Amino acid sequence: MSGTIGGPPDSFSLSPLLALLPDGGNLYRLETLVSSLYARQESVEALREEVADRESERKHAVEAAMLRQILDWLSEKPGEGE
Amino acid sequence: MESPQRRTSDTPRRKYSDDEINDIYKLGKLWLETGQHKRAEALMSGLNEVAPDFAPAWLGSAFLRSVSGNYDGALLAIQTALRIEPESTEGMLYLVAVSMTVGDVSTAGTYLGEVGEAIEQGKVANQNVIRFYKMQLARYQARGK
Repeated sequence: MSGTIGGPPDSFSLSPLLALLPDGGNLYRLETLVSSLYARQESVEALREEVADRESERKHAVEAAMLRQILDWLSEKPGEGE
Repeated sequence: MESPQRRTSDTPRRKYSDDEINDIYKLGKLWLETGQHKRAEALMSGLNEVAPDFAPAWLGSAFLRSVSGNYDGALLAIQTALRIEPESTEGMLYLVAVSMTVGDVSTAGTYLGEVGEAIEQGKVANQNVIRFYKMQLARYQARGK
């Protein structure tokens, strides 16, 4: 149940609600997607300039913010993976 | 909801593959775990838009809304996740937790029963689900004492 002495803490003990969330994919694989993510960012920014309605603008803004955070993280990473 | 399963989002000119969605979610979850909630929120909200059928990101949003005290928003996100994956014990337990917090004991009791049944039938392998269920059951049983 809990981690061994000297080992990593049991995530459930630290935050049970967080520990319930499904694991997800692969961060290393995300690093290989830099080019396509930049392309998507350009595409979304172009769409933001084209749309006229508020709802579409909101959706594009949300997607752009997501892509920006991912690309910022990828640019912060020190060289090769761990 | 043992592992994220989703169909490719079919948004014109912005298709995201299943792998991309799962990997972006993974990063969002990492940021939740390290307390970088603003960054995590950008990812979960983005996924809610580009992959509205991806239940884990709705639970991620529910988590963020819960910790910020936006329980109505959390409930909406959880209900969305459960519409996508009605059998998700993780989603049900999120609903139990938030329902208990806002005093909706009836809903909490109903979903505690469903999760308990799933556990008894051997349908749940995730130990965190079982532990969380026991925690919420104790909370439910202790209410008003």
